Amino acid sequence: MIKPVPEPGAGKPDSTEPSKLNPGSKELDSNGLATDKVDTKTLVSRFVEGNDQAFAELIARFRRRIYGIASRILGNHLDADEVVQETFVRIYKRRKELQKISYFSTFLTRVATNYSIDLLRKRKNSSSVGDDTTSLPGDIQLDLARKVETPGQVLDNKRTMDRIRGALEKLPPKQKATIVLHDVEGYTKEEIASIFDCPQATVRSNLHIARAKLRKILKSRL
Amino acid sequence: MTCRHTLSLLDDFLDGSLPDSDVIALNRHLDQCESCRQEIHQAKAVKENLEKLPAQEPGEEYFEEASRLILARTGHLNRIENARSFPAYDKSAAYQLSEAKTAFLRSAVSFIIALFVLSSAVYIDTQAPGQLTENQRPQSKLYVSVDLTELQNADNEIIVTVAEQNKIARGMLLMGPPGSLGRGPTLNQILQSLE
Repeated sequence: MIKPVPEPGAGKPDSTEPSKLNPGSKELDSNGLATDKVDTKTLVSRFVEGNDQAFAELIARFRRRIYGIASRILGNHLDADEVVQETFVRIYKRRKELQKISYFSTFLTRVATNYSIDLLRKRKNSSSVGDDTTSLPGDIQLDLARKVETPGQVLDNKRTMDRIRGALEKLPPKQKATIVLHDVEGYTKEEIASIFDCPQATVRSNLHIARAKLRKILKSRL
Repeated sequence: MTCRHTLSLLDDFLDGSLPDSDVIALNRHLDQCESCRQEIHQAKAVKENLEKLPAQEPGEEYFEEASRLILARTGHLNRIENARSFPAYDKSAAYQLSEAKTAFLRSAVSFIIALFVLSSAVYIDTQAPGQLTENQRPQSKLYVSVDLTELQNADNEIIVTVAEQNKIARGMLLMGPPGSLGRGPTLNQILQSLE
């Protein structure tokens, strides 16, 4: 049972992008309101009742957040894509449980994070973690390249971020997920405890150890 | 404040959740301790860079495609679930109806064939000449000739040739119904009785 904690990512509101599955036609609910104006709780209720449009809207609302967490934990596009798809398919399979949970976002993040950790453990065992940009399709790499402002800036930033990513890769999966959720995604310790279904003290301990390891790895390199 | 105590407060200091009194004490220690100052500087740099760690941006097209794939997969799951949830409906509505139709057709065809055979028999019987009495029936005898002498005194020998097998088979016709081989009298006894 998920503990009643504030909706995670309060500082990072859900994406309000409308569903583009049917471009040009904004879906309306039974009250004539666009589905992107409907709150998450209502959408979840409709989804549990079997409304596929509500599910499509939930995907559109949370897919970026799930992708962000997964890509930062796993470090490559292909695995992040797998996490995004598998998370929502698992949510669909377990939709009856959604009636009992307090916060959809926590449940979703828990499913995504746990799947990411499992995948990371699997990848570490097979030692086949891909490079974060080389694993992206060519057109996406071009999109990333277009964001370059000056070659010098990009090089410095890239080196720093590569070092950070490299150091993150060396952390055990759970510690990596904890530091990504806390320091990168901005989740509180209470929210992370709820996501991992563990005491806050465990989160504090994991965070402390992970930060100490990162400092040690990155010592005098930043 | 010792260095060990300072480092134990590091996480709360970085997260901004350290009480003011501890912050003052920590700053006082940092002013005097180069090692801890370096540690705090390093920790801040790591945290700031983590906060800036960019997420990959695969573009809107990717997210739309991912959504389509998810909906296709869940749609497939939904169809499977529905098929499992309503087997009775499927059976009564379509399957059971066709089963009943087939059974009815089979029964009707069987009944018509049986009726045809019966009426044919009755028709043939009415067309035949009058019933024959017991004495009018032709008396005929069936004569079967089999040469079993070759097999005399050979009961315990292995039957090898085809000729032997054929003769035994013909002998069986005389002795009784098929399957009685070896259960009746021996061949010698038969031959003796025939003589």
